[in-house]
Amino acid sequence: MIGAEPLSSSLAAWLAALFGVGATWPIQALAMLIVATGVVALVVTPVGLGGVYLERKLSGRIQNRRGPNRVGPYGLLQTLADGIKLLVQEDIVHKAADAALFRFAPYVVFLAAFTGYVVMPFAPGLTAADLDVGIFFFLAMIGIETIGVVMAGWSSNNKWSLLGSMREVAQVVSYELPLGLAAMCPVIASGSLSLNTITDMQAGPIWNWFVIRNGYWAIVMVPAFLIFYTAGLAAAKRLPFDLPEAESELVAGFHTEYSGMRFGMFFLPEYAVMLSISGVATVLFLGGYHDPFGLSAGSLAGVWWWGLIWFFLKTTVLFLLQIVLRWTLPRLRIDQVMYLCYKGLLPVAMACVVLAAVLRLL
Amino acid sequence: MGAFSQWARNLWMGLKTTFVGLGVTVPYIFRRPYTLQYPEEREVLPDCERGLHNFEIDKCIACDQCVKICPVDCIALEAEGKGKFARMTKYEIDYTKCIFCALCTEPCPTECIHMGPTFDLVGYTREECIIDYADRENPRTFSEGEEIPYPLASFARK
Repeated sequence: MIGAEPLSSSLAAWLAALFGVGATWPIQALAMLIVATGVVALVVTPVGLGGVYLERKLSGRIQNRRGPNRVGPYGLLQTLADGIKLLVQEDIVHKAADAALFRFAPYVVFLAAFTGYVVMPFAPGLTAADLDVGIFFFLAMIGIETIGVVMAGWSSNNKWSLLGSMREVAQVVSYELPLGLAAMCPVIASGSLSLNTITDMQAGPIWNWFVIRNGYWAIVMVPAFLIFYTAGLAAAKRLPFDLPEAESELVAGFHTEYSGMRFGMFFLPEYAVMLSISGVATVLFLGGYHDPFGLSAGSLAGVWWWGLIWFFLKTTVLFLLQIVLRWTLPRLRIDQVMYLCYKGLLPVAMACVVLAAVLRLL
Repeated sequence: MGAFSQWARNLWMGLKTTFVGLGVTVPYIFRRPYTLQYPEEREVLPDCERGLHNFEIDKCIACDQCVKICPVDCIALEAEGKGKFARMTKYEIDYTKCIFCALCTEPCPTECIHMGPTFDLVGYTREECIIDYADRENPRTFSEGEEIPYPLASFARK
């Protein structure tokens, strides 16, 4: 193992010493909770807010506009101002809504989107929980988000919301297949489901990254990467797959009836999911927190800031590509979305998995 | 062409056209935005722009021609005295009525009323939208080429 000891383990050991007890499971659970909360509060939320800013700025530039530039220097505080505005706005639960479900739905979406970050290896040792089934856990969390969206759509008692959430279910459940299968290729190549182990398999120079591992793996990994990224776009409900909230057809889809901070709790997770999909694509295919020169396996092994820089550099590139794709591709029809999934991505993903297994045996 | 090659071609075209599209959109990120930062930056308007009037009170002989021709009756003119000794006491233009047709500039024998370049008159009340050009204590007449201060709302009647 090249990566340092997970942060939660060191914290658990420290806590155990502090309380004068052994590092039993309650201590470990407490340590994990603290690290997970810290990661969400200190890494994900600022990055999510920055993501909203980047999206607005980049969208503006692509349309020859300037984007937000009034609040703070270069409009940097615009997202914060919008957040405050959302907190102040009235929280409306309309008469026909199923109030309990309606109130609860945003929390499910919010929690699912941010729980995915628990297994994300940001840097050597900077992982909330190094689960043995990391990638499985992540994909499960992406799936759980759907439940929140369905709750929102159903409880809104609004035809647009219901249509949007039904589309979401059809889309996300379908795209989980190519997403999972594409993720299987690095798993087969590394022989592990843990994101940390997968990352550390890719230590060293750029040809150790799974996307072009030793050259010949590229036959499998390049299509697998493209499929994972495309299916990730669909799972994150981004254009060209943003049918659940297609504004020209469904007003705002499943969050039509939401206002104030409850809307914000649908809005921020969208960016969180975009980022986590980019992050997992980075981990699976692009070497995670390892740099392309092999320094993280040599002189800078286990240095957390070096890993953090490279992880966020690669993740941000994929994130920006998601935004640019939004302004490049028109929205698909629902039948085209299904066509692309079942007739386009799924057969190729299956072929990739079979080929990866063959390559693994060689 | 067989069904399989058609399918493969479809997929390939889908991938290829995505990158062709990216080739179109990505260069736009590095272009300069066209947006004018409006209150700070202002568009250069043509000379014939029909905005707020420029009124040269020294030239005016209070002949009442502009009042008569105005199709919406937005000009109110009052003067003391007769003929050469006429002294203007009120020259109000009601901008809630004015349609900026520039007809008032046509019959003026001394060419004392022109259309200026200012287009953004704002006011909180209807009274603020009436400008008295004959108010000598708070002059609102501008000679040609003079920069017109912003915002003009501060020039409206207090």
